[in-house]
Amino acid sequence: MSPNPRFVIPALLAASLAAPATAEPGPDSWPQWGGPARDFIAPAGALATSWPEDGPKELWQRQLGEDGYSGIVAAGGRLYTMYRRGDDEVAVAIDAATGETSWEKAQAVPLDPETMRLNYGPGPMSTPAIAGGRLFTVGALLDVRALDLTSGEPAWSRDLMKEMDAPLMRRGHGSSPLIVGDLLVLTPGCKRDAEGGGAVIALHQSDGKLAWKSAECFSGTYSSPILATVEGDEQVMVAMGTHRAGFDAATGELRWHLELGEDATTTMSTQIWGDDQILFGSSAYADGSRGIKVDKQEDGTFAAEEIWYTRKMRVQHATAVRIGDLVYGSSGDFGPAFLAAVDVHSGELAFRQRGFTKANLLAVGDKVILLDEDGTLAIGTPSAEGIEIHARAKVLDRLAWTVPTLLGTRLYVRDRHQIKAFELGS
Amino acid sequence: MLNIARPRSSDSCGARSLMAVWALAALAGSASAEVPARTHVGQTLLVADAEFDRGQIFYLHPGQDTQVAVTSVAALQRTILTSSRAVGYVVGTFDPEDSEQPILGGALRLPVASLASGSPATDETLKGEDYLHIAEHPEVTFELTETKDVERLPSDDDDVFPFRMKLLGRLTVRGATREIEMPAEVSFLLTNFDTFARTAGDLVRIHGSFELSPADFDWEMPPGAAGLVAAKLNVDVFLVGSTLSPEKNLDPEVDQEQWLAEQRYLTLARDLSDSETAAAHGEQYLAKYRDDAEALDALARTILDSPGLPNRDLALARQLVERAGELAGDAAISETRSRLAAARGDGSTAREN
Repeated sequence: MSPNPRFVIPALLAASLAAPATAEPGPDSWPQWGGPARDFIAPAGALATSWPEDGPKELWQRQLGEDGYSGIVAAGGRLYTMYRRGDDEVAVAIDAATGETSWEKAQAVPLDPETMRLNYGPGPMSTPAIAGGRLFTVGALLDVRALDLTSGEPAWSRDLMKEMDAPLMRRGHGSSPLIVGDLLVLTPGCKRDAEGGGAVIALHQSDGKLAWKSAECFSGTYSSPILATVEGDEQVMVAMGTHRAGFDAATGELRWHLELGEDATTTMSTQIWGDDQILFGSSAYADGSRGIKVDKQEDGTFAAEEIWYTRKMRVQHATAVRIGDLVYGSSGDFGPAFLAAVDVHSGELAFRQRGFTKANLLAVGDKVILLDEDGTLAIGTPSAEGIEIHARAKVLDRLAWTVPTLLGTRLYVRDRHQIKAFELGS
Repeated sequence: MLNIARPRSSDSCGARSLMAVWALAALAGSASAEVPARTHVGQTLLVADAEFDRGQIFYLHPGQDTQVAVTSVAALQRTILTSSRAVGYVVGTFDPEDSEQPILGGALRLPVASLASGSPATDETLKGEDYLHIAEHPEVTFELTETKDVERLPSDDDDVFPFRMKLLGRLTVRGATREIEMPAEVSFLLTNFDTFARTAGDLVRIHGSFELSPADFDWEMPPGAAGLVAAKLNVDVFLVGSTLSPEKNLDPEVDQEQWLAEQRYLTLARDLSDSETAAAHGEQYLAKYRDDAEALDALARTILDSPGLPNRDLALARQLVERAGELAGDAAISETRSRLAAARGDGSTAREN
């Protein structure tokens, strides 16, 4: 999927007016969760396929507060992420070359362990987004902040849980904001039996004011929304509770909707959209993977249909990537995890493969980079027969649940306590 | 398809006494050359790389989900020996719904010490030299080698795949190995919210029974035994295996190494009834965690609370809790100290805490 010029051009124009040139998204940027196209596919770089025994060349490493799973975004030579420090959630800008702090901005977000399930830590889990010279962060309690990319100075903030009466996600809000032109799309969800809509909303990046909110009420989600083009129509697609839906990206009007069974309620991984108009989604626990075909009808409306479903691939919260007709991912929840791939048209399992615990995948050229939850980093070549692993090394501690970020040949990875930079070039 | 097997480790430790010798023999797998040894922790067996290449490993979880009952109805006595402490695994295919041979192999070790009838005197007799001879044969082992007459059964649940089949393998009792055949119902249950409430992972459930003749195992009963032990014993087996190893704790807050050290203590003290080796392990634990009040308190509580411990090592528990108390004086440790004092019959100390 390529970004829609209708949104990208105004965004770039706005960005060029509003922010210093060094902070703008460019070829070496990773502006949001999932990367430039939110599909976990990085621009191809010349990556080495063999590493020294102790792993690829480490450029730097540093501590990253006390906890957090938030992903790493990048622009203008800086990395941005979030971490936890006491009662504060901290947004941090880091020099990508040295690892030194450029700025930090803390905000008190005390969490109540009585009402939340924090056994995997307090987060934050959501990954910031970069647009228009600003960094947009979403905390565990749905507090949204717009910070100046250069200085970290706040431009505006919203407490959506209070203002929108959004539900508390017991592990903390984990869905990452989506950049759509000059809008910031979020999935606060609705409380049970709530009325008045608001499952999905869009804020103006400029001032944080509400641009639109969906008329529909779905429960909250840990899955992040994506932007998809369905026969020229830009849609925000979400997996929220048992609901799968597409909304007009500019207005929030519902384009299509599917309600699935109760087993589909725990989707955390990000859905993948393809040019063949198949939406891939996957959940673990009692669910599996499914392909949903979305088509535009003759009368201009949209129809969605589940075209296959399989329990043979169950992606819990890690990332999957689509390469050709296959979606590669790490299947499993609390038992063993297998690298696996399914055909996006049929749901047929191509292979299962041992060797890693639950892993995030990132595609780059004809290679995949994977990082498992035990901190093992690897590079391999995927095919219908499996992923041929060329090199692997232990680089982080448990629980390394954050998907890596690749800028050129430099890879940035983190676990709950530290961030590291590696050179993967050949 | 690549199959990169995970590294596995085994361990050994020194012998201290006859009891320790047989317990260590059990841990090292000397009871049968065919059945893999226990892991160092002892709550499952070492799985060969080749088994991982064959299919999915379903680990038995010692406790309520591994039930073995041996019933003897003799002229003068009916005895039902039960144990829930079998360890082992079953190798299943990845996709049982598509398979005509969903079970590919497996292995099991059952500590004789864990068999209990409810009558200590009977247990002591049956584990003695004339019967199960626990000192020389501390474990019953079984190696699953083959299945036959596999029949897929109907299911009204999309996540449950039931079969009827015969499980064949080599059973070793009292050092003698014989081929046995057990008709069983075998069901594969994919994870769903119901199974997850019980155990994480995909599950396999095996329920079967077979008759065992002690004479077939060259087991010569002592004079007068005919009235106490039947010529034919019924063995009923109910096992639930999970793709999650019993040696993996899912709680991220738990120190895995310390938790595994506690599990090893339980393997020795509870499952194998080897109090001497357990005490030695406890001393090592005390030395290793002597500056960690929480870890010390955890093992003390395990000694006090764990069901099924034949002998609670209150002296060790006291050492652990006293050291924990030197490091931290929190309410949890005080409570452990009180309960320990009560267990030792020291009422005044219990009240002081």
